[in-house]
Amino acid sequence: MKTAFSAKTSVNVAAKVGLWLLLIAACGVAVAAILRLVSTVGYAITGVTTVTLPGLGFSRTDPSGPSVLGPKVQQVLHGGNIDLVLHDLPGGALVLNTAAAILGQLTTLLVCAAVIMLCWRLLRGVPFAPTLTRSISIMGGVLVLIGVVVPILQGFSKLLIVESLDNVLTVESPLGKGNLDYYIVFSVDLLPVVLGIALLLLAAVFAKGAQLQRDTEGLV
Amino acid sequence: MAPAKQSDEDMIHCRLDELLDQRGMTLTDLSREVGVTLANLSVLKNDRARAIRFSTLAAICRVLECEVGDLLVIG
Repeated sequence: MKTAFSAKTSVNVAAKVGLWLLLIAACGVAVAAILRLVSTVGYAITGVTTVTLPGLGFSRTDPSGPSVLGPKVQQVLHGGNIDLVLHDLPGGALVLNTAAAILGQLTTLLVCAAVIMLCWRLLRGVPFAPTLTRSISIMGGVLVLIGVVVPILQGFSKLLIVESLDNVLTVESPLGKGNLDYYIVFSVDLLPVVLGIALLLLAAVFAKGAQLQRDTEGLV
Repeated sequence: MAPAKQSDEDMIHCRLDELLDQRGMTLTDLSREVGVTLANLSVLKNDRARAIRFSTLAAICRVLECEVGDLLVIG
């Protein structure tokens, strides 16, 4: 009996320590995401942006260097896709690209916030609170929305960027030019949608837990 | 449905106070013997309980040396 009690106590202590470590880690990631968000806005203000575009051009290499695509292009990094480091983006493209980047960082912040709230509630021993269920549901919904909106913003941004470059449709260009649908599909990232759905399911589980807890109120 | 259920619960009265007085025990003593928290026993004593586990019922009856009908009455 004493051994079983000690084992149970050890498990409880280990669980609490694990929750504290997870909470601290989530706080650290949230701080990093905030700093990254600030730097994203800062870079946007300076006008220098790195954009990944699909390599639709015929030429895989650009022997003329970055100047074929015009003065906005500082560097061309070759791979399956083309990473361009750009400055002086068109206003619309800069706003859309920055907005998409901010919403992307918001994904990380929302997930960290959910983890922090869950850890805190579990440490306090009151996990099934209506406010927590509501908060997790809202976060999940927002994440799904971000997963849908960000590719659209990025698609529009990429199209505007490509249209602002020089010699995109020449043989020497590694880029080529696609239509809006293509750039939107190219920008799709399923992670926010998957995380959002996971949080929504978690909220449903917590709602059921709250109902079961209400059913056992007054049980001695 | 809900009002009828509430009135059914209100009909059950717990005679824990009387039984403890007869035996010269306090609620704290009973809590220690039975292994149920003082808060839960207080809920039971004040007729605020909505349900009671058989294990709790059996433990209380064992310690107080009484029957279930002595502890819980209707009316």
